[in-house]
Amino acid sequence: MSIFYLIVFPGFISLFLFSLLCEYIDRKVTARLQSRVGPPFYQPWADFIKLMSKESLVPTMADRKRFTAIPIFGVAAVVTAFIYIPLWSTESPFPFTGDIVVVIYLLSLPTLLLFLAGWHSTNVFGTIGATRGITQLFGYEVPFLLALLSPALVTGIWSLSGILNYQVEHTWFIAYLPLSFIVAIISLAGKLERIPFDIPHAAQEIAGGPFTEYSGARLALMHLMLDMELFAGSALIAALFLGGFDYIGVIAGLAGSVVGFILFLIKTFIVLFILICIKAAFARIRIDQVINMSLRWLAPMVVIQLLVIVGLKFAGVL
Amino acid sequence: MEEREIAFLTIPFGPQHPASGHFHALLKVDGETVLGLEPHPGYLHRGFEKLMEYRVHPQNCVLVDRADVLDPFSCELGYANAIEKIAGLEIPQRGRYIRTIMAELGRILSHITWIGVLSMVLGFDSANKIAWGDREKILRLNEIATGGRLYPCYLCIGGVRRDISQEFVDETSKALDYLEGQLSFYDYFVFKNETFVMRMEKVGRMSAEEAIDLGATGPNLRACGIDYDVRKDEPYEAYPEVEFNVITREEGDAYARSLCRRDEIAESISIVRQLLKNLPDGSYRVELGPECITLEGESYFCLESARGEKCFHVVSDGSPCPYRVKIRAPSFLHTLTEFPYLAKGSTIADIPAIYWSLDSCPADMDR
Amino acid sequence: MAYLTDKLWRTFKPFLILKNLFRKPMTLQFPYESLPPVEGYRGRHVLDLDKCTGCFICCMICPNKAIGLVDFRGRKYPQVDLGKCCFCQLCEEYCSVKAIKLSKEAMMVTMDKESAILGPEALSKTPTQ
Repeated sequence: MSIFYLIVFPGFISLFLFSLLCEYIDRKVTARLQSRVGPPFYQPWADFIKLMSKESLVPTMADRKRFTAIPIFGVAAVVTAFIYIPLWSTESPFPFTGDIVVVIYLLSLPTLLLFLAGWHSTNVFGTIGATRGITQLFGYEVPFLLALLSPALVTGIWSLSGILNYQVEHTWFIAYLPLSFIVAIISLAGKLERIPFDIPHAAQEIAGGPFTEYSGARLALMHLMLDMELFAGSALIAALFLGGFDYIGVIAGLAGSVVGFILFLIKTFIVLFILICIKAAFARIRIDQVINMSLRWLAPMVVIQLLVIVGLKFAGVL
Repeated sequence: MEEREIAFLTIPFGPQHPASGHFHALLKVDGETVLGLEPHPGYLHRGFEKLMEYRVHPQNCVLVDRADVLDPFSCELGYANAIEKIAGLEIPQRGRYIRTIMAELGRILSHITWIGVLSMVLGFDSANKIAWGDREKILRLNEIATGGRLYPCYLCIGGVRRDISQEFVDETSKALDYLEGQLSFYDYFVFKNETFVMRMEKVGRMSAEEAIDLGATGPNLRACGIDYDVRKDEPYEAYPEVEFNVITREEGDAYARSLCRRDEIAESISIVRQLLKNLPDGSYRVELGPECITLEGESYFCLESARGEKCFHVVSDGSPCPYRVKIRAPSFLHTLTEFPYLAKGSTIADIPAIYWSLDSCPADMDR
Repeated sequence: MAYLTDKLWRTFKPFLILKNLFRKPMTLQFPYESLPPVEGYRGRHVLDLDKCTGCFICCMICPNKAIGLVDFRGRKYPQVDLGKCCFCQLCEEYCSVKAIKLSKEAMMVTMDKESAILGPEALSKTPTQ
């Protein structure tokens, strides 16, 4: 049974399909916001198959094994992070105490892997993109961590199933922690390197950044890693703040799980929609402005939220 | 991985690059700070000035609008006026009005293209796509009036090649109303967008003396506070008969240049409206007789294109083809003097912002 | 304080682009839908074989030397190389008998260079638009 969970649902194959669906929604809604038509629904599939069928070149001075290993590690990290997120009940297939920290750690692996990819490309653009990626990590990682761990601070339980149990019994955390929700979404945009934070692979300045030397199947896996990270990150925020599978009313049995899962998907797409609106409305900002903004606005917002929580807990309200 | 001491990196801001148009430069970079920039012009050099020495004047009028791809009407206007100065021709009033209308529409087109490309290099995808859609309105007007969208081949020696129809006048009024609505959209979406202001404010600052030393013209000069516009100082065509303001700003940074161009779009719309209202009847072209084969003389004509001051120096020695044609392209100085000067000391992320805030067209630079 | 409200306004007003979701997109999906070409569009050349006198003016005036003269039906007629032509309409303007004109036909796509050279027979076909 655990093999089924790992490979088919909610493991590799279903994450693959959902992340392609995610990319389609991203591109279509962005296009409609820019008053264009947008690609048809099979476009991400077509891109993936086309990239897999092309020749994959490795630069002469780069290390072939490391070059190939990086996309595979990335996909593996994101898939492993995703199977710990509870999709249709309070428990994921492999729950344990502390799994929220493991998920957050695994989701920050892709940034480090992009750094390695850029560094090992032996290309000027790769080096610059890699350093920019790591610099950006300094900016948003701390607010992201604090924002995602604030539900754990409220409940006092450090596992996703415990947090979801709390949300099922009381209200969803977005009512208690609105500032954390906002900070989590903005930091997720930074982690996924979406506009306005897509400095590391700023195509218009450094022609691709860490992705410059990748082509063919390796590039297909890199793009897949980014798409899966998009879906996994949105799903994590939906689980932590919007109540996951929870809905008003009770339907028993398998039908209840199915309804819960579909609502979970809808909540993930709501988070995705907010990310898309942020992408369509803004330009890219400079790397020093990213650090400036994170340390000046995001970190204080989340600290204020945490102080409010601590105060309320001390006063006995929560 | 062997240890290497890297003092500075050389990055190609290459000719095949989404941000640079078709312009090659080498950046010397230390971390994120740019230590120096070395431009290498010539990627788009097609040799217009030499090609024009082997063709007669009507052929040259049609050839020259590829010398500045983004603002072709200014090139045709310049060449036609230079030859008319040698021949001593007087254009009928309707011809002058039509020429001015097309020149101003070309300026609006160039500025909207500039908004699109600047947004693209700043990573501002949405504004790029929307600006490209707004270009279509003016390209449709070009198509109605001249038969071609990008390369009009319309202004010739003696006037314009065809008359404008009532359909053109109606479509132009509708397009200008639409563009005015779009300008108020661009105001809050682009020019007062927080991220755009963050990228462009205090970047690439030029003082007035530096601007004059480096040879800046056009909106680059007017954003430093100097009031110089060829349309007001040495008027040509129908400009003496319209009222418009010359837009100047004080700060001299990239944001000031952007706001200058945005206000110029509004001024151009008002100029075209005035001209359409007062369009006179009459002939639109005076025929150039057999004396165009044996023109002899020299003339120098300056005009205000969308980029800056463009001048044509034509020497004709009595044979059918001109002896020498020299085009003073404004983008040549923008790219080769101002850009390296402003790029020194800025960061890599500022380079595309500075380059496109100077609004230099690589085709115009290389000719 | 005014600086802060200004900054907040500038951060949130761009989200008004969401109203584009409720409007029709401005792209036309070619070739299923397209704008009709206007009258006077400079497209493919059309030659009137009866009027043409073979006077060589169109060849001389062409800036790119795209027009050449070939033998056809015992006389000289022009042939146009569409690859070199810049569609400037000078040949129509200077033709003494108004035999060569530019039509509205804009779909001149071909995969091999040889078929881009239109002889007098191909030029005399009526345009498809």
